[in-house]
Amino acid sequence: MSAPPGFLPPQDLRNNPFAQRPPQNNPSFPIHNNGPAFPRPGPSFPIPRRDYDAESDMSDHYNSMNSSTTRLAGAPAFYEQSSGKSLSPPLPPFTTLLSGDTGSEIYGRRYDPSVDSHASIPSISPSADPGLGSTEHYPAWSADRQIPMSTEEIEDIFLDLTQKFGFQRDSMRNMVCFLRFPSYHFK
Amino acid sequence: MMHLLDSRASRMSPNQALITLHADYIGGQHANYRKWYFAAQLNLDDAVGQSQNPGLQRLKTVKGGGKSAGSKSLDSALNRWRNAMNNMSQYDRLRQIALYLLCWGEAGNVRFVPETLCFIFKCADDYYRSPECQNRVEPVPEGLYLNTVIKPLYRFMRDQGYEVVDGKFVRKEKDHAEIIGYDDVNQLFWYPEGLAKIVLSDNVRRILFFYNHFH
Repeated sequence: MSAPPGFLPPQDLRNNPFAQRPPQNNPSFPIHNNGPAFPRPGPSFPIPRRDYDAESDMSDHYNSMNSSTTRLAGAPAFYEQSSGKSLSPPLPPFTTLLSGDTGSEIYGRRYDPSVDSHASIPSISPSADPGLGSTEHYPAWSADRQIPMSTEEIEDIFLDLTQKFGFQRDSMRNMVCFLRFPSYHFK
Repeated sequence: MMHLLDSRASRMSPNQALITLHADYIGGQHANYRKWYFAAQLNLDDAVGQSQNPGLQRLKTVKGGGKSAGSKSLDSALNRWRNAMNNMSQYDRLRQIALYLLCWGEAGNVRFVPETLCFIFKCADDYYRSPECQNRVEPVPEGLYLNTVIKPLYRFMRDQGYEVVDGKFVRKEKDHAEIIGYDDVNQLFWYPEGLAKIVLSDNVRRILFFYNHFH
C-alpha cells in the first residue's frame, strides 16, 4: 500500500473503478485532513427523497442536495471517527473495508469523494481496464440490491429506441455506459 | 447511463437512483426539459389533447385561449405534470432518460441549442407513444436520426456562420446581427410564438422535414 497511486494493482480497480487507497496512506493530499469533500454514505445519510412532491418540498430537496453545509456537518464525524487522531498510519477500519469484505451493505463506504479519487489516481483512464464484463462495472446496480430492472433490460430499452429512431449503434453503446467504460465495446 | 445509475445507487437505493436521475434530466423542478416545457407552454397543448401536433396547435392556442389561461391553469398544469411524473413507471422513466441521452448523444452542435434539443426530445417522445411507432415492426435504418434530424440543423447553423473558401470553412465576415446564431435558433424553440412559426415559414423546410418525420 505504499506504492504511489498510479501503480495500484489492476485487480483493485476491477471491482471498483473509483477505489482509491485509504486517504491516510496519501499524505501528499492534505485535503483529506479536512474531511471528505462530499458526504460519505453512512448511517447518517439523510434520505428525504420525494422528488415529485409539492414545490416547496422540491426546492428543499434540491437545496439539501446542493448545499454542502447540512451534510458536511455530519459527515466528518463519521470520517474522523474512523480515521482517528493521525492520518499517516494505516487505520484498521479502512484497511478492513478495502482488503476484505466486499459485501454490498458496506461497499458504498469504499467510495471516496469523486474529486479526491480523480485527483489522486490520474492514471485510471477508462482504457486502463479493458476486457471486463459490463456487469462487473456496476457493483451498486446488481441483482442483490432490488434494482428496478437489470442491466440487460436497460440495454434492451436502448436497443428498442435505437431501432425505432435509427440512432447509431455505436452512439447507443456510448449512451448505455455513458461514455465511461469503453470495455463495453470490447465484449 | 449505467455509470450514472451505478454511481447514484452506491449512495441510495437503486429505485431512488433512477427516480432522482429522471428528476434531474426530465421531470424535476430544475430539469431543463421541464423548464422548457412550461416556457414553451406546451402544457396548454397537452391539456387540450393536441400533443400530437405541437407546432400547428401552438398557433391556435396562442391566438385563442392563450390569454385567458391564467395562473390557475398553470397551477393545475404543474400539478398534472407532477402527478404524471410521480405515477410514471420505472420502465418509462428509464425509457425517457435513455431517449434523451440518445437524442443528445448524436446532437452535434445542436447541443449548443438546448431548447431545440428539448423540442426534438418532445417530438421523439410523443412519436414513441403514438400507435404509428408502436405498430412499427421493421427497424428504421441506422443513422436515420442523424441524417434527417440533426444534419439539417447542423448544416443550417454552420452555414450561417461559415462559408467555404478554397475548400475550407471560413468564418463569414458578417455582423453578428445578420447571422442567425445559436441563440436565435434556440429562441425559436423556446417560445410558443417561435414554435408556431416553424410550420408557417417556408424558409425552414429542413426543420419541417424532420418535423414530418416524427409526425
